[in-house]
Amino acid sequence: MAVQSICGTNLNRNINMKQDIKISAQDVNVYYGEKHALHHISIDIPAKSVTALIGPSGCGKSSFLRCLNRMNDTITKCRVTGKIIVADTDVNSSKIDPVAVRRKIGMVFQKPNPFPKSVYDNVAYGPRIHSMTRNKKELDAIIEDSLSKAGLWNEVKNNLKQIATTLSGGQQQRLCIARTIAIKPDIILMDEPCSALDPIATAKIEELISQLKDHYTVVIVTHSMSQAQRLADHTAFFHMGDLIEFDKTENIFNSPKHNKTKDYISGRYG
Amino acid sequence: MPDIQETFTLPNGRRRYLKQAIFRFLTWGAVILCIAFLILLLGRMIVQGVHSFYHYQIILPVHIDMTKTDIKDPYSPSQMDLKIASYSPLIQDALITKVSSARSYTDKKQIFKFVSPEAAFQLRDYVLDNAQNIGTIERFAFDVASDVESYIKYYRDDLQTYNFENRELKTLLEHPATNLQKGYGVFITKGSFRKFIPEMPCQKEKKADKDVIMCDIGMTDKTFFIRVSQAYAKVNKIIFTKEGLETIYTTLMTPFEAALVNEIKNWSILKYDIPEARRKLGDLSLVTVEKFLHDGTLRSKLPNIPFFTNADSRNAEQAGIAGAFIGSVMTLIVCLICALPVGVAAAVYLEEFAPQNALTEFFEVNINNLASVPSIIYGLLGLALLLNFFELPRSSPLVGGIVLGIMSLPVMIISTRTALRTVPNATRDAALALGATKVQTFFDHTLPASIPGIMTGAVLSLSRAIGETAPLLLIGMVAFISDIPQNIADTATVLPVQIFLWTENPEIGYIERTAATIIVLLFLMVALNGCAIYLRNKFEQKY
Repeated sequence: MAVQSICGTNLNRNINMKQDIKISAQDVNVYYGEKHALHHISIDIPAKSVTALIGPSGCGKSSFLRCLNRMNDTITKCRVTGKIIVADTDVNSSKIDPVAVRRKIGMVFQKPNPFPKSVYDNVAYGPRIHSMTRNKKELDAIIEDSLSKAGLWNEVKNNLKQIATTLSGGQQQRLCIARTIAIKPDIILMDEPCSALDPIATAKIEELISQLKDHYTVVIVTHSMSQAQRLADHTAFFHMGDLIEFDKTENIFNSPKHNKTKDYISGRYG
Repeated sequence: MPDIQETFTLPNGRRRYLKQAIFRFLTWGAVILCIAFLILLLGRMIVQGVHSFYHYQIILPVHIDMTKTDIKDPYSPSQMDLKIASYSPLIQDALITKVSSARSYTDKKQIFKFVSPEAAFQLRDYVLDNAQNIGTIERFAFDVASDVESYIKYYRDDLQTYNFENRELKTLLEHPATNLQKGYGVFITKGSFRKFIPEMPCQKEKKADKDVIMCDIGMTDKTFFIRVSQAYAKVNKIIFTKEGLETIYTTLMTPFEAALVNEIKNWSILKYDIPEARRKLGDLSLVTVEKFLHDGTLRSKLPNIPFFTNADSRNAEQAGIAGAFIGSVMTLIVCLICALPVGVAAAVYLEEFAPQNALTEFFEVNINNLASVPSIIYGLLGLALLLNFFELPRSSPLVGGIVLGIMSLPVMIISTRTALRTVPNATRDAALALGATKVQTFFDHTLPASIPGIMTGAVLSLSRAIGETAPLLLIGMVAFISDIPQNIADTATVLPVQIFLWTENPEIGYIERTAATIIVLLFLMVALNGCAIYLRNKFEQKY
């Protein structure tokens, strides 16, 4: 809490602090070269719940999401400062191996990006590289479990050998979620997972996300305010690189404290 | 309300469409021009080179009679003696048996020249392997000497034949027996040679109170033969009388007993427009070629096996591309081994791992510059560094391959980087987000996805290397080498250099071989490029 008081507004006051805090970002700044993209973000994301990040394009919500599992390391000239505490560890520290961070914090991307391999190999890739299984039986079990959790098992169980890129967009995205679940992460980050999908596929993914929060902490970036309302327990509103407001979803949408939030959710810009 | 006609009329429509038509015509013209040049080039090569894919062989029964050779002990020769013996007398005897009318020294010399000088070695190799056949008569197929071969392929078309049926030709041969030898013969016919008078210097003469026209063929630049079945006589002089009778004085080139019936009905005139003095083949050779082709002693053979199995030779009929081909293959393998791993590794570092800073940018700019350096500069590098400093074997595929490898490196790096860049970042992100390390991501996803592009680039830079001549000239791969290289340190040459070497040679046998080699090289390149397309299609992945 000391850090938060130094670095500006304490936005977490409305969160029920009895709930476990899974991720605690403290004074996070993101720079792309000279450009200061995110300013002093401090946020506490509760465990086993869905947290939505909303805001107009270019507000920095995706940048923030990518900070959480060190994916910004892959972007040259991108610099992240501040602390991101997960399980009492600052995962943004240079001493922490980003590969180990990503092992525990999975990510689903905007565009479905299955590997051009079979469905089986897609899901098996994570467990294989992390040597999570001793034999094929265990691996098969993980794959069935992951695909079932992602709601894809019944659709692909007869043809696990088919090339993943031949699946439909919605199936591909559910496969990507299954792939992420397969390595048994603690946190799943989702960067606009439904923006490339049609409404039916979107509905399936949303249903899936609401089931996932029983086991995982989900952080989702979305452009759809209705999606945030439907899914999220908490919502954070970003604007121009600033975290404007973070509260329970019903509070954000029903009684926003900030004028910018009000304007945005009422569709005046963004 | 505006007029509809006017609404849908394009302002300046005519002018704009005219411009479009002109532009389209110009671009179409450029394509047609390119195709025309290509067809011209290919057509020329095929027309010239096609003769190299077949050749002529002469079938000779040779009496393997070692007493005719210079061997010391012909009845129990040692293996060494058999090896060093001169076998040409045996082949010469065989030829003389075939052409019994060759009695004089010059005639024999002409006939001896029918067979390639290599034939003696072919016979030697046979005798060394089959010593039990000494003393017997064996049939051999020898290669024909290049002069005879190029005459048959290119100049024999100039020999015009006029066949006569039911036109009487009387012989006035008085002593048939003696005329088996090369002798003189006189024939009488009617109106057969008249049409050739304008082509000959003839003069009027009075002979036995009659006006006659006498034409001395020896004074003209024409050669005439009379052919009766397969007997030939060379026309020396013709005397035309007013009644149309023609008395023909000839030299008999072959035994004439076959024609010694008094009334010959079917016969031919053969006319050749170049006189003997200006031909490589004498009259006897011309006649012998006709006879041999007729009786099957000379026969064409497809494919021309020596062309594909021999290395370079000073005898055009023996010169082949095997040496250059093997040299090319070895050079390419060395080139691939040098360039592919280094090029791909460098590209992978620059594309996947290198930090973006001034130094890597400097490298990138210079790699692009190196790709446009003239290839002969790489030859100089090879000369200075590999030959003079490291003292690697001169003229070898090893050095040639390294030089071509260094030359291909920049292209290989650029094409590999392009291939790596086509792999979407989404795939890399997907693997990284699953907790894969950079190296795992590269080997599991980026490399498999970019393999077709990398292979295509490698094959295309190889097909550039295979056609490269300039750098190889500087490291001495331009020598005359008559052996097929056995390993990469042997002296060797490569296909384009072989073409370069043969173009310096005016002999027609080499000219046709040059064209044929160009065809082979083109086929090789088309095959390599086809291979690149195949690889690209086979391994292409869709995202």
